Amino acid sequence: MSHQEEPKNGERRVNRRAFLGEMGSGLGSIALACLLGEEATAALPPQRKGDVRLEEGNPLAPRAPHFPVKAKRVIQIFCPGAASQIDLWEYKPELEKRHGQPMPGLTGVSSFQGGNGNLLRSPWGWKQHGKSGKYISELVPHLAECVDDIAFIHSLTAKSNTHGPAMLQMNTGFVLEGFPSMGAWATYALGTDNQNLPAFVAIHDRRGLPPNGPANWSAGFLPAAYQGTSFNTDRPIADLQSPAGTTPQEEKRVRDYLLNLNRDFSQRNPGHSDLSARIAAYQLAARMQMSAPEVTDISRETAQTLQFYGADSADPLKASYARNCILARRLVERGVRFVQLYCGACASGVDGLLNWDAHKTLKADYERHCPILDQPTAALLKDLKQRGLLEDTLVLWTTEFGRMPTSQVGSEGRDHNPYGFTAWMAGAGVKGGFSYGATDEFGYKAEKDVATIYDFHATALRLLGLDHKRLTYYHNGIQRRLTDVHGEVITPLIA
Amino acid sequence: MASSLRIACLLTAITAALPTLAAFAPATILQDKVADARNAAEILSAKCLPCHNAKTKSGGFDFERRADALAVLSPGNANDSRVAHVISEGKMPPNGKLPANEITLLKRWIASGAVYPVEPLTPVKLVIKPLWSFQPIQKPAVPKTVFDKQAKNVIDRFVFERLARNNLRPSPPAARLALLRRVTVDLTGLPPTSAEVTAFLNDSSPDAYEKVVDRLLASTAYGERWGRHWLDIVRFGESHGYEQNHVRPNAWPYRDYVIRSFNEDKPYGRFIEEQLAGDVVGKGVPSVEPATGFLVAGIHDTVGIQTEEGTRQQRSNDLDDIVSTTGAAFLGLTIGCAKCHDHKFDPIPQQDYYRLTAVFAGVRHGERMLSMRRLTEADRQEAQKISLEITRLTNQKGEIESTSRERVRQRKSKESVTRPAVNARRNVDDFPPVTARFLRFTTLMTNDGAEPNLDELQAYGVDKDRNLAVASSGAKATASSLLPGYPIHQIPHINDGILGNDHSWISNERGAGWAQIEFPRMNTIQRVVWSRDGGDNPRFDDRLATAYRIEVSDDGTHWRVVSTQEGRAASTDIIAYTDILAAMTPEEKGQQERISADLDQLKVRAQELNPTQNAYIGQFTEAEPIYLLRRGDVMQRGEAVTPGALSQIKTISADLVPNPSAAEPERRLALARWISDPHNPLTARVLVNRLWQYHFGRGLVSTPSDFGNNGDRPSHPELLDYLAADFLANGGRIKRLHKMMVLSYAYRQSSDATPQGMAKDAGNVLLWRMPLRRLEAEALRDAVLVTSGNLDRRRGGPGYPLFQYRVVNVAIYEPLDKYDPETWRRSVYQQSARAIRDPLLGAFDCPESSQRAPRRESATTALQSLTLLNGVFMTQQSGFFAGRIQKEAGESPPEQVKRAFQLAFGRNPTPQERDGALALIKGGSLNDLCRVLLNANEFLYY
Repeated sequence: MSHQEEPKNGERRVNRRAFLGEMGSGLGSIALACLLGEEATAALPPQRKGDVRLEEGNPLAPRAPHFPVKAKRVIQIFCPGAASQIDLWEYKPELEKRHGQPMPGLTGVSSFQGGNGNLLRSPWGWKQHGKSGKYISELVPHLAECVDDIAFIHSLTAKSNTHGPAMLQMNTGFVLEGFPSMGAWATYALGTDNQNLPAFVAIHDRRGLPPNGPANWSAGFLPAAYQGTSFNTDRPIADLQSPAGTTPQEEKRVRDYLLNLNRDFSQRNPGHSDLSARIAAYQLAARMQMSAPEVTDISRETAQTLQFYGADSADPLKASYARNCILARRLVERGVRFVQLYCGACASGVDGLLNWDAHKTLKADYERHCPILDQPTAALLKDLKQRGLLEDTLVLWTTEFGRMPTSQVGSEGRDHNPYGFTAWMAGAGVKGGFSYGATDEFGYKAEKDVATIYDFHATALRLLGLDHKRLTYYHNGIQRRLTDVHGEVITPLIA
Repeated sequence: MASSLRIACLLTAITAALPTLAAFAPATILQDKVADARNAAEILSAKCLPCHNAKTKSGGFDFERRADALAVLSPGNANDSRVAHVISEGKMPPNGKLPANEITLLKRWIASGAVYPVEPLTPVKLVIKPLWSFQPIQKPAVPKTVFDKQAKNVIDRFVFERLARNNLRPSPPAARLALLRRVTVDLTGLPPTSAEVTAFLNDSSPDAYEKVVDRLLASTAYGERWGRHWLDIVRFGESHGYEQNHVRPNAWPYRDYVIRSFNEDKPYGRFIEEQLAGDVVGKGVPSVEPATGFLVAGIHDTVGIQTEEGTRQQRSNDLDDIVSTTGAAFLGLTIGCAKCHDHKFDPIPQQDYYRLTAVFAGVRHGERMLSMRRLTEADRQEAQKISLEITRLTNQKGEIESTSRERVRQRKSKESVTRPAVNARRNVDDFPPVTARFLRFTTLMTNDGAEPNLDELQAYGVDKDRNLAVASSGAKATASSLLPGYPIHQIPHINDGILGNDHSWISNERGAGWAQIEFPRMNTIQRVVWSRDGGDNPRFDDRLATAYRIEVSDDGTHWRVVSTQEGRAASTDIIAYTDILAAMTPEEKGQQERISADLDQLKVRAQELNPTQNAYIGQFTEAEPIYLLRRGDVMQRGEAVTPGALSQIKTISADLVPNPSAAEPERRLALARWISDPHNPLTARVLVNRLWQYHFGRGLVSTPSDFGNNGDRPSHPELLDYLAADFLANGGRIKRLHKMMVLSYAYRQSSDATPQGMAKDAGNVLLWRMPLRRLEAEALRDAVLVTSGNLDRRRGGPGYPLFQYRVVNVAIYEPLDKYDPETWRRSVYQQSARAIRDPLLGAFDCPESSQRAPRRESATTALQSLTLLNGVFMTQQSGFFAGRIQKEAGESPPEQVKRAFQLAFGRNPTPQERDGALALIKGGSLNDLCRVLLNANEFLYY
């Protein structure tokens, strides 16, 4: 071969103009100056055909989706512990009628914690709401007012009946650790609109981290830039504060001197865009130090807003979740791409105390959890709507699986049920007042339009303008996807 | 069905999977009948005809001609069409459901009459692209180029040849300081000390650099650096992952083994054999046995789903992890992709996957006790005596504690009972003496409804110190059932004399099950002692028998009840140990303390005599039968499969052992030898490439664990083969290979950009310069500790956690808020629990070891900056750095600045840098300067 070769292996071509444009608009003139006279180079690992084309040095620059759509960002609410479909969202008159009778066909079936008793009706009443006339449990009266904005999926099925793996499946598509969360995929695909805040935020509950902890917002094998950053109104971003005892003037001198050293180093080592990217990263960090305290400062909201969300509640857990709902709104308002919002923590020694895992005392547990969830979440939906944000924000309500229509032997609670459960979507591009799929007459197994978590993910991505089959990243021999090799978009749900 | 399946497998093995009809994006399908017919025919040919053709007529029909397929197609009526049904339900094709758009298309085509565009249709036969990496390694001739004067060794000749061909030229040599820093970090993961810098800069001998390389390769830091790379490749983690994610406190012996192996420059073939079959090739050799930690270094589900399917799935996942990791680490193949169907891109039939699975069919997760010393007969006897004495004293101590516990409980409940409540640690049932040959303990109910766990069943006669039921006295244990799949829960553990959950038995019946002891002779017994987790370090209170029956028998058929739970208190409240201690009488307390002291002494002696270490390095049982699983579904077992290697590598036979039913360890050893056989074309190439990647920033093959068709082709194929052949010819010595690479001119060049290079090859695939690399997470953390003067160089042994750990059924990890000196050892010794990463390590792309990480990302983020500027670890170490400077340079600021630069960058400051630094100190503190230096790019890049 005597002719000149192009380097193979899909080397990343750098869009210098786009990079400089970004630098000029967002990243400051000093970083820009460092770049002058330089060509950026491939410092990232070789990019594969099929991977998202990333801009050199700025992995979070905003990128266009595959198709033009309304949804620009996502709030994913998560109720860990497996929130009961048949006590919140899916009305089963037959369950009420046959309360106390053995469930046909269930003999000998044991679920997670063991044997099952007879059918157990939902202890709460159900009423129709909205123009759609959707039946909703009296446990969530505020959310019931929002049904016309919501599309329910009543026929979801999960691969695991164990909390940890099932939560991972809902968040990453896989039951094992090590895979990127949906939020990581979304920011990998789309970057973010606000470079001064993390692109992907996980707001954890005041009661603690959910099962699996940070694995729920992990970037998996994607670059660390796409990892979720965890904070809430009670606990700020880690390492945001300058070390105790340093004055702002001192801090500025530290940064200036660091900048000088780094600029000299770049001059001595030309042709490494990585070095410039790191200079930019420090400036970004400085701006994050300015922006993040502002965004978490809920006191800037009006008393009326605080009240509307329930942030003034005497129940400190409700007040805290309400503040987190307000935080979620403030984040998306400022262009954060993906927000996870948890209502509940990991398991405690007592099932159902800190999260939705009502094994033994369903009534007491849900009468504790639902008031925490209901008003603030409904307020979030309504507030987004009145501010016009619901137009381009996708809201997801998720949990890892459902609960049995029977009682757990010797108790007034329900065991795990991965065979049929509910999640819902609202906002940008979603058909409101709509219900998709159904479980059987008791709420046990998904029967009509059975859907998988892959389908749920494919649909959420589609609403974000992404084809779940095209959004891939090469890892260990496979172009990985959020949906593995599965998933169908639930088209009826799209407006 | 069975026969059609076999044919399907056979055919797909030959014809291989279709490339992709997946290209049917909805938009490309024309909505007219002609296009539909064409597309439908294509799908039929590819996915149905391989089995349903005129020859094979699987299921009694074929799709070659429309007339022969009418019965199953039902043209014009998709609702009645059998084809429409089976494809919709995913029952066909057997290798996996068709994509939705293909199903829609076929249904539409059937509904509109199922017109054939052409007849007959023929099965599509596509041969998988021959794989370059399966071809034999051939040592190529060394090319000549115009730059050969500059060449340091043969590597350069190949590199220069590619440069010359592309009108590029090598860069000038790197500056000496840059080169020293590069090679030191590269080989040891630590920056050079200022003394090392001075020594090298002052050494003008021609072999100054080579001497440095030799010194670095001989240092123990080398193994710590390169061992860490290997641990990435093999997904080594120190917790189970999955739901509970409890820590594996004894996983570290494998980590130490890996580090030791690199430091010893173990021949690579030997390294492979030991990791796959160290229990055989290293039997009784304490430095080698931990090697099998490789097999079980991955995730393991400790919960599972207690159904037939769940149990099978759990096992299948474990084996899949072992097979996939073996394939990826040693062979650079994605063998796991052939679990559900033939590999879509590479010549790996599904059959091969299961043959490899059969190799590992006896491997189970768990710990083995390693004996660290060979024992004499006298040692053995003494050890046994001590072990009996330990049990006796533990019982005595337990009795004192039970009495006290009962006291506390009674005080708490204020109820009078005749006997204490059952508890998980130790229960005593006394009864009038009976003579019997058999003793049976039947559980009737457990505290949580789960299958009962019995850790030990002890029986005593008059002599309260002589356990008649212990196996070493000849007694045999049997049981009604056994929970499958847990090496730590086995029937012989009922009377093995070892207390604790890790040596216990669990029945396979919820809330029920019996355990039985057969004495070697008739015995008189009057006391039974039983426990659920009675060990030294008890953790479990679940699965406890709350209703039970103790019976004896002379013949094993007729039973007499001697005791039940009758009369025991109902409460099983957990009582704090401190309360128990507080409630002891002074006399009891004295006795308890004496026994504890005696026990401690005995344990020290036992450990001296027979130093043992539990290690998470797998357990080996008889190989279970392995079946080919249709679509990888554990409930769809096909034919039984015997062990074997990859069938499509033609340079070496895939038959591992002459006898397919070979004993378990033989299988693994045979596979290890197959992998390390010089005729295996993959092994050497993959290893050489890994070394290249870690030295040069990217591999000659940039997908280091994928040498398949979906991976990248080598950038310098001849060089790869030359090095592989050379490596094999020289006994698989890794250090020799390192030396070749770092002595090459290519490695020693400058990393500066040249206009020509940037214009032609910005990605530097052709190596016209050396890349500048960011320190990996561990190297960064270690460099900070070196610079602050705090790095603790103690090697090996249990790791230190960088998290707080608690267990509430599942493990909960939280990052530390302060870092004690214990955490100042090298980062390779941190306990790498899964799904949790230290904020600093995590921000800098340290993998969390749930997945294999043959190549790390190197992202640049704002959160990294925040962590480095403000994180607790960094600010703490900046403070120590400042303290060190003051100690070494005194109070003069100019001297301090000079020393600070020397320690952080290995050089003196320029006047301008010095002035800036002095101003910084003056306006704030020396700490500020230290923080800046540890954040500087000059510190972070090498």
